[in-house]
Amino acid sequence: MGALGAFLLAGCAVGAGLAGFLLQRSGLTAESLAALSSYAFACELYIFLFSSISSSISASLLYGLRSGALSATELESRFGGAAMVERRLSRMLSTGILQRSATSYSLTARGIGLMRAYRGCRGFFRRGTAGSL
Amino acid sequence: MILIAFGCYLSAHFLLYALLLRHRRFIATERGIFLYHFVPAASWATLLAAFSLASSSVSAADVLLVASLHGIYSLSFLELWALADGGYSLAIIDQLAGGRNVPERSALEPLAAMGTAKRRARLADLVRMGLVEERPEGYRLTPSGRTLAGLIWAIAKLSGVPMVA
Repeated sequence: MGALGAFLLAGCAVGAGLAGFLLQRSGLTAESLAALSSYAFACELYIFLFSSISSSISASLLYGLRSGALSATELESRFGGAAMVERRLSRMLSTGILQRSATSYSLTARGIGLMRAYRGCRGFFRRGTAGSL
Repeated sequence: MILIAFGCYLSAHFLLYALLLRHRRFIATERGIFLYHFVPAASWATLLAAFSLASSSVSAADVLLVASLHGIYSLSFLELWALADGGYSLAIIDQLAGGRNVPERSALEPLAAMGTAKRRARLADLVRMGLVEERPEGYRLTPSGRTLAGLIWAIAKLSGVPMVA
């Protein structure tokens, strides 16, 4: 299970426990709803932060520069385009978005679903031309 | 009563975007969409906090409830908006989706060039924002960059996210 799955599992269990406790103690009041919505917002913010840093090129660069200055050549070797693609492909293979045959990559059913959602968002928010899949 | 008013406001906020504003250029920028959410959220929180101090009809719980519900709505909206912009992983999927079975070599070459271009652009952005500086020995973090990098390190440690160092 990935970090997101583990967090969701733990977060939902704690959230259900909190909801049960608050409803038993105070009923359906503004205080109970405020506590639950604050908890849900904190969880969403945490997921947003850790999913952002795990996929952000800027965050990777800042993280990589923590240990000291890096020359352009060192940056190229650590964060070169081919290495970045390899890492992304590896992650997408492990999460079941892509599948690999002997010499090629293709989308799984999950990847096709994700692509449709992405294109739906792109069409709604008018961030580009939504193609067909 | 406050919740009903807030629910009506959220519906109106979304419908205004869906029916009218998404076609406007000024709202298509990061600054525009951020302000479209931040200004009303801050206004709601400030006004309700002022009412809660001045009158007993609004409680601190009401302020917290409205602020966190607005936070959930705005953060979800902005995440989807950012997703629609398409990150690097989505660009990779997009390329693979177009060609179905893409030979490994022909898939990697243009994507690697795109990755290098993205990394250079991000590094230039970090320099422009004063988080990284270019010195004779290479690129290094400024004090504010070091603070932000420390925060990223803490989140990565806390969540167990593997980072490239």
